[in-house]
Amino acid sequence: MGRPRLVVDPRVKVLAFFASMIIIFSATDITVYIVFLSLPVLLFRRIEMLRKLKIMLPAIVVAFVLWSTLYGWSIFHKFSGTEPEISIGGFMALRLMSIIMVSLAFVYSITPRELVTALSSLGMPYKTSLLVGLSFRHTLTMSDEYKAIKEAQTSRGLELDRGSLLARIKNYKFVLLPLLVRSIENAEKLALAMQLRFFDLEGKRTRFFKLKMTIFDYLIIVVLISAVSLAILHYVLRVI
Amino acid sequence: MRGMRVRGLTCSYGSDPVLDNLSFRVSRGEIVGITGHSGCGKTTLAHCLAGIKAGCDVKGEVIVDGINVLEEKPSVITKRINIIMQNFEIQIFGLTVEDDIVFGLENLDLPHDDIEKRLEWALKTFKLEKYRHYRISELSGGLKQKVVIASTVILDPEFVIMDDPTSNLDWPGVCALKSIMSWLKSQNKGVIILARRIKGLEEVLDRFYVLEGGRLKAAKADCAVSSLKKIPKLKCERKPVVGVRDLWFKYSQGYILKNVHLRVNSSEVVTIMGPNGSGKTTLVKHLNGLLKPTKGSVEIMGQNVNTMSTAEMAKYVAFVFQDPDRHITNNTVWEEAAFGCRNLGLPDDHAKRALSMMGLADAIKMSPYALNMGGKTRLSIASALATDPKILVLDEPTTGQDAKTLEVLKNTILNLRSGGKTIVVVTHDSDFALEISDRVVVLHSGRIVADSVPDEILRKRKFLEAFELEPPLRRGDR
Repeated sequence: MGRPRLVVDPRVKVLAFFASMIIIFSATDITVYIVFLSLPVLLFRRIEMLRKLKIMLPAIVVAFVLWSTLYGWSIFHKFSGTEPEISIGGFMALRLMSIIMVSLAFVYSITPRELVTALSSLGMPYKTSLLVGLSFRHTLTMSDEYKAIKEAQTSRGLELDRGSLLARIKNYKFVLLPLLVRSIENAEKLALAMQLRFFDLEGKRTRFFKLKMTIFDYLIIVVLISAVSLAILHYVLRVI
Repeated sequence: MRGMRVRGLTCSYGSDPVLDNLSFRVSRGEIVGITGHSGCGKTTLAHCLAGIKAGCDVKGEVIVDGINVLEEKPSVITKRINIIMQNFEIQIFGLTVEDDIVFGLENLDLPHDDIEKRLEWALKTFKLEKYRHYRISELSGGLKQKVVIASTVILDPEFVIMDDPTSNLDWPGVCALKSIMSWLKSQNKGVIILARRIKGLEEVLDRFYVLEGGRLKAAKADCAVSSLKKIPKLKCERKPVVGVRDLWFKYSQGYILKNVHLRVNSSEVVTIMGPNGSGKTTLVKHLNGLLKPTKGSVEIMGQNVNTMSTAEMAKYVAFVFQDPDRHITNNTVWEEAAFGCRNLGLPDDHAKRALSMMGLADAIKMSPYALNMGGKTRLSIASALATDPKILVLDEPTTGQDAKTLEVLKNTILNLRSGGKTIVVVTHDSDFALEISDRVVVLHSGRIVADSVPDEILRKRKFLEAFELEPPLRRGDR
């Protein structure tokens, strides 16, 4: 994962994330989802983001099947009859994909440091935002550890990429068990690392990285606010 | 005297004392070097001096500014004493280079401009400017070590304990560390450096000790001169086993390898050298398919790596990773050593033999994490040897090893070579390279800039300087 190429204020990124979520949940139009699916790929110039969606494929398929067959019994249902509704299933699968895509784009574009700075300057207490940042960081560290363990095991002949699905799932225990142990160890190491760098939760700290909004950021905020208002007016209140 | 006073420091794991009634003083503005063989207690001593509890019984006192480090809270100690640990990776807090250097400074509540100045200074001194915004996980081992040294020294502690700080450093890195140490001295700080080899740092040491049998002995600061034997000529047919053709490889930050061509034969030892971040590890990770070429091709035993999984390639290629801590995955030494040969369906005898070759036969029931750094590296080597590979790749195998183990390692490599195996070694240690290699390949900024017999490269000053390599101990006397 490289560093983001767009210089956007992290607070704007947080806002953009929430705005996108509101639009996704209120929209009933497939074109909106197509926009959300393609926009991150275009913005980051990263085709592999689409490939990441593949990992979530089982969840998307389950959503498709459930919404297609069980919608008639749903307490939210607006349609009569119990015929399978493929269109509803497809629509919900698209919505889920958009949610995943927007979340991916958010994770790609923001660093834990930016997240902590943004959240605390948006009014979240430092302790809470630090906690959010640390768990975010832990996820990234774990993905590095996962890679290292996988390297170690496959280099010694553990097959994870080929063979029957069952055999592969069985073999994954040799990756996941050490990962679990590592995850607990890392918490201890992290505490030591922070101590050695004088970290003190109660103490005063300088905030070296300061946030500054540019005209570009304000422009994005205006666009975001209008998009959200339009979406709510159009899809929820149905006035335009 | 306002210095560090160690009195009656005794430390034991179970019944065996590792440190036996040590007493010494280190004044401010003094640099003390301590060396000793693998497992002599260097790391234990380093941890005691920095007040890190290491799960052993500690008696005695370490006094700085009238406080006993062994009984104080970390927050009190770190202002006075800070440590660069042997497994430095665990000290990294920030996710990017800049984050990591700045984190400690922010905690000190320094003014913004001061932080900025110190950050720029650290990036410049350690030549890290280019990597400022890189994710730490994208850096090579040597660059990570530089980041840790920079982030620690910049906090301005009164005493700095350095535990094997040069293990992954390239020669310019060692030279930078040397100037940092003299700078610390001029700032009236105390430095204690504990290392297997102190090559390149001798000039700045005020005093030098050897830690042996739990006691310190004063010694002269000359490096243990190795035997400098010449590698025996082999009269056998050499077949090509590794063929790298026009290899290009790209991470997110651009090309790491550019137009790399490399052929390695059976019964050949090839050493890959080059400064930190030149692409050494990236290159060797192509040899067992952990990385796949962006462009070009890699063939192992006549088969294209793109057509095989890493697990399938384990039949031919065994890999010893640079940071054993992160690649050890089992609960006992035995399980760890036998993991590979069991996966490949080989008998357990292979693992037994490999363990005894690496001097770990008595440790089979131990937890691998209880071994010292040298032991972990040896365990990784044993685990690789147990798979009976045709090609053995060793990434920085000299980390944490003493002269005796290095001798064992050299003999193992030379035996494998005469048995028709291929060995590819990545190292910064020019003396080690001279003694084991048929050929030395130098990588610089992702390109191969030299490929020749070791004497042609490592004995020529113009090459050493141009390629930023460590000069060998003695020149031209063999």
